[in-house]
Amino acid sequence: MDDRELIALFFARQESAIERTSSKYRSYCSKIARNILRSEEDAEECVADTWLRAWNSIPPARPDNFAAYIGKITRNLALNRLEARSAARRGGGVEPLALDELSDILSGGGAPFDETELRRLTEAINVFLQTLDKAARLAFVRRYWLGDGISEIARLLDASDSKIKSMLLRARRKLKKHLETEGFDV
Amino acid sequence: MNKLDLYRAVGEIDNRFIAEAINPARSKCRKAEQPAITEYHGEYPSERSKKRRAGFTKFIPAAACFLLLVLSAAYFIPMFTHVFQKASHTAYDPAQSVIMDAAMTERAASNSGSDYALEAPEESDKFYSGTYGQTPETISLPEISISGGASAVDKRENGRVCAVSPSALFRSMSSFDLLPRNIFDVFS
Repeated sequence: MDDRELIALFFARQESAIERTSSKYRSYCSKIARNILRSEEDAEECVADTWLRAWNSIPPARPDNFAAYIGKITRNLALNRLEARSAARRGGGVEPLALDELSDILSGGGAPFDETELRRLTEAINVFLQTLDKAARLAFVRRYWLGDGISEIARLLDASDSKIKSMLLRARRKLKKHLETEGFDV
Repeated sequence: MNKLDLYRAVGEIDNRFIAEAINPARSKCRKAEQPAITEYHGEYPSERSKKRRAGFTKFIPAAACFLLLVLSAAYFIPMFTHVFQKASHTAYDPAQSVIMDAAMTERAASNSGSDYALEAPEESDKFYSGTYGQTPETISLPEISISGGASAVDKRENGRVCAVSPSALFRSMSSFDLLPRNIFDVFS
């Protein structure tokens, strides 16, 4: 079923929208959640919450890219769950490898950003992504947004694992530099 | 900056970047759309490693040959130097040498240029030979060689010293052994 038809079902408030979205995007959302949470059970709960969140937000939202939209929902829910889990373990939780890599560019902690700062940071990252060549951008998004493994990305780009690792390392360094230029304290 | 903020900000990136990364149709076309990865380096990683391996296959035998050559040189050059030094030393016995007088030297020079031969005492077929100013070597110079170059041989009456023309000396040297007669003593 086409994404536009799915969105139309949401707007028509037909419960089959959830069923059909689930059958089309379950594995995709599960993968995102699993890569962040590293727990099958948590990932399943997170995916179930995704359908509910989508049901509650469409309408009024009318996403132009439905896959990205529900992917973001899943990712945010997974991060919330990860945060709650880490807090419950007093920070002793197992951090997902891909995101751990990304946080290497940060030298220390800091107060949580408010909505405005978070939006500015997202904008800066969008600008940074535009400066990357297509392969590096694809690797970056698949690794740090989707949580793909290095080997998966390497297969996708017909390159070696080490090539992808060095590509990601260069991208992270470039991101750090870019964020510093944009005035962020990294 | 809090790392969770960074995670969240990455999570909110523009949808077109996400679509580009997750759209399977684009991924399938990656070779046509993204030649940069392979074309930038000009070759696939597997080809690079093949070339590297080929380079090693050529390099290893070449290095082995070179090493063998160096070792051979290091072994044989001192050995030969030692052999010849010892041979010349063994062959040259100052007690048996005969100093040519001025007239003899002049005659030898006119006959043979720089070559000479000194007959070894009590051995009519053995001669010291060489170039003026250098240590002489013992050679065998049997009658047949001398008779072959008889016209060029200038032999002293007492039979102890003679000068030999270069042609006669060369013939005798090429016909018979150049090595000192007691060469085997050198190796012992």
